[in-house]
Amino acid sequence: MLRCEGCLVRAGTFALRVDRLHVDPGEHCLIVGPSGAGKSLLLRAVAGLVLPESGTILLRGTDAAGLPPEARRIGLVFQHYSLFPHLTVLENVAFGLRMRGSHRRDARERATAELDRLGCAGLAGRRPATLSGGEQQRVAIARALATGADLLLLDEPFAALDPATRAICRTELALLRKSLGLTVLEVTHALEEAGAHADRVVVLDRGRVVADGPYGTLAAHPPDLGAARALGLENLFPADLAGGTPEAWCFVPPADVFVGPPGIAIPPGILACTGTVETIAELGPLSRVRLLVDRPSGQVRLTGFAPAGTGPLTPGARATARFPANAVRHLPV
Amino acid sequence: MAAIARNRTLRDTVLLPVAAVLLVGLVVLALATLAARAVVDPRALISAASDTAVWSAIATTFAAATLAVLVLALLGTPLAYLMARSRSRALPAVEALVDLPLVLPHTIAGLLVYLVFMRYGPLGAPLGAVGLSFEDAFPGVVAAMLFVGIPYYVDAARDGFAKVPVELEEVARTLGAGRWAAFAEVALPLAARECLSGAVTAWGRAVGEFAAVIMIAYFPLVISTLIYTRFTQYGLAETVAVAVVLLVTCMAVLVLLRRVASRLWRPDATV
Repeated sequence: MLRCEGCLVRAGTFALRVDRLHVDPGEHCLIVGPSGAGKSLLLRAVAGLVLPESGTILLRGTDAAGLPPEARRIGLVFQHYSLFPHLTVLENVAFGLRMRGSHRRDARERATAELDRLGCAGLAGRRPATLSGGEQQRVAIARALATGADLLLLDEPFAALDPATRAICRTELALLRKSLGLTVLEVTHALEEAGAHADRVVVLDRGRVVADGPYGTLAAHPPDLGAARALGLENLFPADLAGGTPEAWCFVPPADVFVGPPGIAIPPGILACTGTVETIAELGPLSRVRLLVDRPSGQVRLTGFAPAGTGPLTPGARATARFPANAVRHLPV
Repeated sequence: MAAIARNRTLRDTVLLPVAAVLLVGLVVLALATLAARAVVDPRALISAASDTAVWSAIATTFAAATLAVLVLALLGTPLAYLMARSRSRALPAVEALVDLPLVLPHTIAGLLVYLVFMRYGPLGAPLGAVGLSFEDAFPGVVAAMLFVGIPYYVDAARDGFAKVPVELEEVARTLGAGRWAAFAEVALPLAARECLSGAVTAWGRAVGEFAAVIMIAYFPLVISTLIYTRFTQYGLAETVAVAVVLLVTCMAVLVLLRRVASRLWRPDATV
């Protein structure tokens, strides 16, 4: 569906270099990374709103270099949905059809059908300013799909929604994607939420792709410190905590960290450090515990699990985090 | 604490209204003085109201100002849009050029218009060759009004376009709109209120222009030149009556235009 090869895209003094990015038809690919990594610029380049200085972008196997945005058959949805405030919902959805040459009446009929398909038929006569965030998101997607777009570019489309609406919208998008065979390229900061619905995660850092793979694989084996940070992973710490030098960095998955009361004997092969409990969250039979550990190189935050309701773990109490030495992964900086 | 609260109350309840009343009062005082002089001689007032020269000047002024604003909207809207979207280093220079008529003495503005549009001027000569002359002619009045109205229209329209999120146009492009369609279907309707507001202000400025107009076109007489002529030829009493007729007409039209502009639907820019 989408292939970027050796692309260099500039925006002012910032340069985005994408040596290789392939997105297969029907795939849901997340783009993550810190602010200023080039995520939105990548979407804009795919949409044809900025042109690469070099390299190629292939859309459906065709070189997109000469294709203006209106000829790329893509749908673009921003965080605030960018519905046209001077048009009704129906006129918003009919907009793309009119721009592609449909007669006004045909466009309205097809837009009505599209709204009906997404369960938004009752919103047709309303102005965007009167819609809730979830309704705006549905209308924005209906508008993008009405023109026959099979590649959706989403720039943090759920960021402005409350958690409950976000979860509903994510599920709806996943169902829609599967039923229509849509390809989705989504910029997000909510990786934990989005990861469950996505096939792949592409990590950008300072204008370069630093990791590309399924979320579970990347979260368990981050390729380097920048990728681990961009993935929002917890338990990144200077290696002196695990007996190394403070210049190097380590990572241990929270699932391998056990938090319990201090003073328990530490068997060989187990690393331990004591700190102060910052927060506790009950997650069924387990509690997720965040621990602040003081180190000479600074304070380290460790997350692990403890059996729920056992032991005197409360915020402010002292506790010990233990993890197998072989669970520690050293990260290239 | 009580003293601070008393000072605040004094500031909120007295200072702000007094400042507002002083400014409005100045305008009202000027109008009242004019009206007081006019009512002592109602026959002069009736004579002025039935004077064809007065109504001819009003018609010429309104026609020239309207034409000037139409040309301004035609040429100034694309300029304002490009200025709102541009990140060029040349932008401050363009902004300064656009605002130049604001700081120029209007006699100099008139001189510039005259130099460009006189029969040997860089635009006056070729346009004269096709039958469009500007010296002491209606097109000269329009050219002068156009020149002094540029910043009033372009600045307002530019602010309007700057308020339209660029993402709206980008989405329009991906939906199938070309550059022109994205401008005409999305940016322009959303900036229409500011454009219209700028057009009304530019129109008002054009109607009141004297110095720039008189430098290139003493004739046909517009409102300001008519007043000047009456004052130098017939004195204060005659001029006051004519001024009252002109003032009432101009105010009525301006109030009407402002009402139309303010009633335009205002979309929620946060969407």
